[in-house]
Amino acid sequence: MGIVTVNRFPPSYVSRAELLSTFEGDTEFVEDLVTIFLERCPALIDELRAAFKAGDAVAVSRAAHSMKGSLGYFEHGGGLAAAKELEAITAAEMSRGPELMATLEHHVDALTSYLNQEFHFTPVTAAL
Amino acid sequence: MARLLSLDPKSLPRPFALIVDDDPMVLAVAEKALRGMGFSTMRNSSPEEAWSIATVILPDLILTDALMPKLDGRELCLRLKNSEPTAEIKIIVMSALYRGGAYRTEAFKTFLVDEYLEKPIRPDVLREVVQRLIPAAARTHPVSNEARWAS
Repeated sequence: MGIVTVNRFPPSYVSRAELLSTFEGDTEFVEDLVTIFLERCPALIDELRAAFKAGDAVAVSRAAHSMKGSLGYFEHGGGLAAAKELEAITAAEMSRGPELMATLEHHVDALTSYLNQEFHFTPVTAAL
Repeated sequence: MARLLSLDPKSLPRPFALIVDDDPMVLAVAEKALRGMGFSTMRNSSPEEAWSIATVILPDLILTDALMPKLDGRELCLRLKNSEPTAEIKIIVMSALYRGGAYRTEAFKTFLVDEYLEKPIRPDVLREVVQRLIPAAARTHPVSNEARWAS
């Protein structure tokens, strides 16, 4: 289930050069932005898990919306696509939670590794 | 909050922007762009608080997310536009959800936004919009604000 789903959304990261171009070469600011993202991700993932556990589709949608907003600065591929699907989830579709969460977490984990490598941060996982 | 609501708007450094969003990344990007243009900024993640603050400090610009708990940023905009003396505040609404032409048209016609931006916002795009809404000359000229306060 997981492998097929993950492959459905290939990764597509925003490069360090693109990020620096967007933020006018301000390396310090881009690093701050990456840090905010890395610190925020685990909390958003926890929020999504809690929302699924509570069976609250509205809360899932809201947390996924936040995740989508954060991912949007760094990637245009799998993580963003999974977040969009979670954002659009309805109460009747909550059974898709495990599948979509596995996809999202896979991509967030991969993006975290990518950002740590690109910005030479001490490698950490997003504590997923 | 109480201290904020007792502020004299004339004492604030101008131009002044109120940024309303619960996403720290958006807050950081918006603040960077606006400060680079000479704005002083204040962050707030509650649209209801933002409403109270705006009516007291009369910011020159409000940048608000559309989708927020309790009070939609577009509703916040409409409420401010329909109220004196906040009607003249320039308001930019941002959204990652309500995307596309129909939502944009609705934002202008129904909610009276001054500009509608899709997220993720880019500093260059935000600067271009703000420059158009509040040209640099108006930003450094105190007359418009004095006139607004006097009214």
